[in-house]
Amino acid sequence: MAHIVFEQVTKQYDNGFIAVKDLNLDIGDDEFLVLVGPSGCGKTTSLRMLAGLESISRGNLYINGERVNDRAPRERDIAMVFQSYALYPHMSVFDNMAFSLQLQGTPKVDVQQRVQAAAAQLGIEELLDRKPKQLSGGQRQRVAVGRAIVRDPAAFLMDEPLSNLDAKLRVQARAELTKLHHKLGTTFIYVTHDQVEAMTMGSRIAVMNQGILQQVDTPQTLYDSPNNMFVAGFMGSPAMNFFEADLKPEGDTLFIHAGSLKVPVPADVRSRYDSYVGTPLIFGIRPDNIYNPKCAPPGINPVDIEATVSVVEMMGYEEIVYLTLADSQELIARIDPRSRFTPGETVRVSLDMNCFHLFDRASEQVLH
Amino acid sequence: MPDANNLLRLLSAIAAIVLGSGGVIALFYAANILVNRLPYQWRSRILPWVYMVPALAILTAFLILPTIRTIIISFQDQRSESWVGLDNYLFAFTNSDMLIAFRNNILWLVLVTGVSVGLGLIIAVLVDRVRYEPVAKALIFLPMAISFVGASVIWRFVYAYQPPGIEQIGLLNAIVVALGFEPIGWLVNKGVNNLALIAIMIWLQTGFAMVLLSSAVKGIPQDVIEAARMDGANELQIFWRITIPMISSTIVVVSTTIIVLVLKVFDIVFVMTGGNLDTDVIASRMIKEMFNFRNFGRGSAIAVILLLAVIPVMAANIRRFQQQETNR
Amino acid sequence: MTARPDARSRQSRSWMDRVETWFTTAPVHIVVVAIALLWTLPTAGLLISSFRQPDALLESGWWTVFTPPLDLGQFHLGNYGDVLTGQGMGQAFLNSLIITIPATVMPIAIATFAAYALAWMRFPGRQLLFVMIVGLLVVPLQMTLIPVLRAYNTLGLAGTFFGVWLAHTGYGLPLGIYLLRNYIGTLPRDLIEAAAVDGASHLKIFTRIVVPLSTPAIASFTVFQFLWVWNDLLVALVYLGGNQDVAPVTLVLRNLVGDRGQDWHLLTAGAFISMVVPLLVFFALQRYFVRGLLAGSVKG
Repeated sequence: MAHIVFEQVTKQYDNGFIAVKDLNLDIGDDEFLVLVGPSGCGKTTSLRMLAGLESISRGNLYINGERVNDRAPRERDIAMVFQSYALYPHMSVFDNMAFSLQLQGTPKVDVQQRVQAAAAQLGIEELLDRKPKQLSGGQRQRVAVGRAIVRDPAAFLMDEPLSNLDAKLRVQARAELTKLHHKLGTTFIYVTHDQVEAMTMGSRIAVMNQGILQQVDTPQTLYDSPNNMFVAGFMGSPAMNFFEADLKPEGDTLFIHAGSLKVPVPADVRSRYDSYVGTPLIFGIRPDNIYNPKCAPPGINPVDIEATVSVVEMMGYEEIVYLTLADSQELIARIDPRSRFTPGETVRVSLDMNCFHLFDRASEQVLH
Repeated sequence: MPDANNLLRLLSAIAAIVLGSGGVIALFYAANILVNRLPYQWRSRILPWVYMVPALAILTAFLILPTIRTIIISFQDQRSESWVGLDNYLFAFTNSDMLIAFRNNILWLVLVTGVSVGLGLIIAVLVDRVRYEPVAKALIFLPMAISFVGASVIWRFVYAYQPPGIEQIGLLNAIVVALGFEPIGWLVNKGVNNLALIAIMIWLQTGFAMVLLSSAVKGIPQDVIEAARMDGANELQIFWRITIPMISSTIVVVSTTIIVLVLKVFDIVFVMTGGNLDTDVIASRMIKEMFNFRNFGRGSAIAVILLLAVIPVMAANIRRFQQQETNR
Repeated sequence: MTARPDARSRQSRSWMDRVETWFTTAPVHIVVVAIALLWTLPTAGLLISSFRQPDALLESGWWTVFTPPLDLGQFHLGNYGDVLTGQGMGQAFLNSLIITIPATVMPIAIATFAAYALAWMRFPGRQLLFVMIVGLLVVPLQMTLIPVLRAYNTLGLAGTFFGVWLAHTGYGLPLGIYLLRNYIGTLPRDLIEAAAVDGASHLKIFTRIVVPLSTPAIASFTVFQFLWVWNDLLVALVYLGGNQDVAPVTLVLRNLVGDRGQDWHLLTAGAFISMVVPLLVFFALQRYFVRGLLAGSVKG
């Protein structure tokens, strides 16, 4: 159990490059926090500062109320699973898992017992005598996790632990890690560039970009109410459709104008946006919030538009459709597979105006 | 009594080995334990130096300071008491014995490098085609394990001379006599003694050249050779137009390595002829000036000349080695 | 019915082929065998001679032992007994071990620690230090003989094992640090960090992770340094001087050449005693031997 606090933490390298800037993050006792962002966003650097593998240039890092900036990794009671697994190639699986306990001077009997228990939990008991070279990718990943849980640490750090697995194994391992978190009830801090992993595993997600923390929230909040264009665009696949837009009142209604696209702002939320009339904005809508009118579910607030189908990607359970508007703006929709759109065809689609986003074009922040 | 004496010797030998080897390691452990008692910030700053200082101290004491000192001594007289300017260097480049040493060194450089590399290359290419390759290679490479002194004794025996009429015990003279000639004093005849010494070095170094060149030859992709064959090249053309160009960098490495070694070799001359009868080379002259004539100024000047001759070759070699390392 | 002439022509062609192959490959075999033989004969002659009677050695060439009938009685071990006890080769062999083992272990230990620090510890100036050490590779040890010998004379280290150990350590260190730093630097960073997170101190990372994983490089350097020291004459000659009590095999053999240059029964046996350890290393550890030599080709 560990309560971890980043307080204005900055990492600046000797060459002046700032990898992480003024990071403030409060991670609770039993949280599964996912740090997500594109490569080079500072997520791994943040994790490594927490592990003690990277020095902290400015700010404070607390674990359970104690400032740990100047503590060696081994004095922080944390375990880490590396992207490459970093299994010691010259040691058997057993020795890999027992290594940290041996270093602590744990009695042999205890070591034996705890390694056995951890191995049983992960289903790798029969691998204990093997060398890492003799294991498959999935087995190695389990051993790496096993090496961490044997120690019963205050926090688990994981740096893209699933990125070397094939797609099928990754889905399976995802569920297993989530289960493990429930069982252990310890703090997990998990770094990934994959927003699907972030959404499926995290109890909270911290999105980072260019060394700056963009937003920390539960997966649902992050998805529904992104703070800015970066978060909105990063979370969700295919990514949110963005259009340069302006607000123009016409009679009682406030319209969003984006080239040939003209959609009304629902009356119930219009008061929020009145003051932005004339400001350069970005209109955003997720592909999931675009429907085929014939298959639209109840409860949405549809506004129909006309578009030409250019490409259809049939996924079986859904259809990804690339649409072109009259002024050749493009948008992507994720619609019911029964729609059977064909390329070249002109179709009507419904935008669910209960789920749209407006951002300030200059600051890229969401309008409140 | 001699038995007890021997036992004592053996015990003291073991004690010396254990103390010498274990002492260093114990030193590191002790220092590490001490440093680990310090707070983290101090520890992380001091620990690297605990690991570095023994190496730096020894390097300074045995390489850096002596090198500087030798350069200074080379400008002083034989007992390092007064400055003599460039006199020692003037001596080195004008004295007739020194000039012979230079001549010999050039002979050594050209012949040892040329023959070892040439022969090594031929063997490397040929040995690739026989099934008993490992055995042949091991036999040719074996002399590399033998010391210069050991090799000198081996070859003294090959060159052994008995006056005409008495049965020859040296292999070479036995062959010469069997062919109907007079036996030759290989080490005393000024016409051949240098060549006789050079042959020893060739015998020692060919295996080295062969092993390196052989691995380079094996590194040539088979499909390149096959493509050349498809283009109508015969074996000789493949050798000159494909093999040689593709292993040229290894040839350079081997050659430079042998050049440096030859420049520094003194043992063979020292043991075989003592540098008499016009067989001295630069490195053996240096020892002679230092020990026999006790002229430290001249000895140092010769050492500096040696350093200046080695530096460009070594620099090229190290750069190449580093490239290899990064390409690995 | 048509199969028979076909078969015969195929057969005759394969026979022709074989003759042709023989004619093209025979020169290769002849050259390879000839060179291998030529390279082995001098050593073989020495080895055979070392078992012959002293008088026989001076009366006939060693190759005459093969003239039939092969008489095993002409061989004996007496030469070895003479040279080991009478000429001090036994003590010299012991001295060589006393010199070589610590002079191998010391530079390895010191170089490995330094290489680890240079590769994996953060401290100011480490890049500069490494460049400097690489630069020291070019210094021929002749450059250091006179000042070191003078210092040894003042400090009383001349003629002692300790002095030779230190000197060999100094001369071996640049190569050792260079090789090991390059190897240790290529170990995966994750492994080092995983061990740090697992609770290992630098010393534990070093002993439990870095050293076991660097055995190939350490072994190469060990073999190279061991042979270099064992076969060395120059360092022993200069720093041990005339002290016969501490002289290694190379020095004793060299003196034997000077004093008893025509006593071939002593020279051959003595030479073989000086060679036996390197030859064992050569045959037992050929892989590391070759690798060590290749790497050692940059030694100054």
